[in-house]
Amino acid sequence: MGSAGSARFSDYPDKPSQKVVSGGRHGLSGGTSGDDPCDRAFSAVLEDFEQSGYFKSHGIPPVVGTEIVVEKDKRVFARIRGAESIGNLPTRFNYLAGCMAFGRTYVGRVSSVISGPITKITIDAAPQ
Amino acid sequence: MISSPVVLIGELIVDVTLQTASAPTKVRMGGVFHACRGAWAIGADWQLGYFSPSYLVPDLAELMSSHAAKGAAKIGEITGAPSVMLIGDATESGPQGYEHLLRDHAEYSFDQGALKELTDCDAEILIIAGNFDLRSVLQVLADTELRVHVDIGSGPTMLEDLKALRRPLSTLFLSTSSPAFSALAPTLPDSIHQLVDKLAEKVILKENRGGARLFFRRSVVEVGSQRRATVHSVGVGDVFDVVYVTLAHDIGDEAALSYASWLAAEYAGTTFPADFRKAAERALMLKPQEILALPSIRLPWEARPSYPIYIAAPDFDYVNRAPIDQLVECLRYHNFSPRLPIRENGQANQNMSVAEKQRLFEADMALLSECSVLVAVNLFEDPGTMIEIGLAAAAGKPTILYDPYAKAQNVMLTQLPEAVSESLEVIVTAVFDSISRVWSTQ
Repeated sequence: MGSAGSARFSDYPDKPSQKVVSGGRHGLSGGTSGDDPCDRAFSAVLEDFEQSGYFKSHGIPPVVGTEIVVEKDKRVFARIRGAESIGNLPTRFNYLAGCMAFGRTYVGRVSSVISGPITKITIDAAPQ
Repeated sequence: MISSPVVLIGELIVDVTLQTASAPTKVRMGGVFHACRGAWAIGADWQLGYFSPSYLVPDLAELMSSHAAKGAAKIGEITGAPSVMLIGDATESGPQGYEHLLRDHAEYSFDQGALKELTDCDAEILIIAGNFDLRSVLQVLADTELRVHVDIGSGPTMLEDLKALRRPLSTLFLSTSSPAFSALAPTLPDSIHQLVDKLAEKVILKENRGGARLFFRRSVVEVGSQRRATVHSVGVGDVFDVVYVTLAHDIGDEAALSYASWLAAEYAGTTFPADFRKAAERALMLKPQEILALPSIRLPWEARPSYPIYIAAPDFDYVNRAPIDQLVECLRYHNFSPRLPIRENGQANQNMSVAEKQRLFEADMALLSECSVLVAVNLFEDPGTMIEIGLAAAAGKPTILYDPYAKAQNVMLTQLPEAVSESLEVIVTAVFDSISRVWSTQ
């Protein structure tokens, strides 16, 4: 049986991204993956809808397909375009605050609404 | 934001993250170099004093240059072992699968003169303890007035060794995975308070996915942890340390801890240094008051056992229970209290009387009622497990599905739980998040 070799260090920041194959597995080496999380579209289940401005004004959830924008105040949150907020994004989306500080903007739509004791609103959004 | 210059001291280790089902082996410079990447990413002036085998020195020179180091000195030679760490479970969902090759064979020489020369400057000194003789290093620094910070790490260093500085450290970093922590854990937080001013002016306890707290005099500053998709956990705590040490002087403890927590999460999210640096630049664009206001996950170590976790699974003695055992081991590693109804209350069989079955049923229902969270393990379509998921969800308990074989397809099964994953890392993180939410409302 032959042996695989890990030929060299793979983490020089100024080295370009390169495809590598080792032990039958494919991966990347180099300084960057070429994948910027700020460029990714995402889907998020919102938190705190019942405390949102939209719920306070309307008392019901928005309909599926409603256009939204993602903004940052104290938290990262979703707002109906030109209207009230509909809830906060979970903590794992905090990184978007950094993306937005660099000028990124995100828009999308309400993709699902499940009514119940706690309303579950999902949004799909992408960088503009 | 102004970062303080820092001299980092530690040993170089080659980290070999072993191939998984989806990723090839990855080789990175590790050991103290994780902290170096943290210093580089936030644009701090940094120098390095390192113990290393000779074969790593040429690679280090190139890495130092590409990470904008201000200087370096080899302060000791490692012989007798290759200074290689094999990393199995890179995400630390459970007990770390690290293997330091031939560690007990390693011998360390120490060049006091090189360290004296390197530290003849005005900088923070951050030591990432390892297998070298920390006392010898501290004895040299005892003759200076430098601010010395030590992460006691996962090596053999004992708290008593820190007295070699002959004054309290500026900061002592401990983590819940440090061997030294196990003696302190039963009497938290008093055991840490007792170290303050004796061993260090400030003690910072890093509590994995549950955040961190800083003990200073009789007060405590707490910060939560941030969430990113975790790719690895190797050296993440060292990045936390260097960010705190370099920023605290300018922006204060709480904000520095928050940036440290943020950047540690970013470091855990990638093994690509340029990606990490870009993420760090974005984080530093946020003002301290902004970063402090963003939500985070806090769950102290000692609070975790108070929120028992019901493990719903076909945990029968004729089934391959390895995934259940693995989950339980991971949860216990993080000081959670998983409860196994079948092992605790007994396993039903066809010869049982109705009364015996009723006793088992009632005991399991009582245990479910007692637990704060349910984690189901989907080994196969077991009716008992499915019913327990529904009962817990209907009772408003956070419900999580560990699906090790990725078999879940039924929409009730995939949509009802808060989290569904075949990854133990995702499941353990979801447990932290769910229990943190329960804890924070009580």
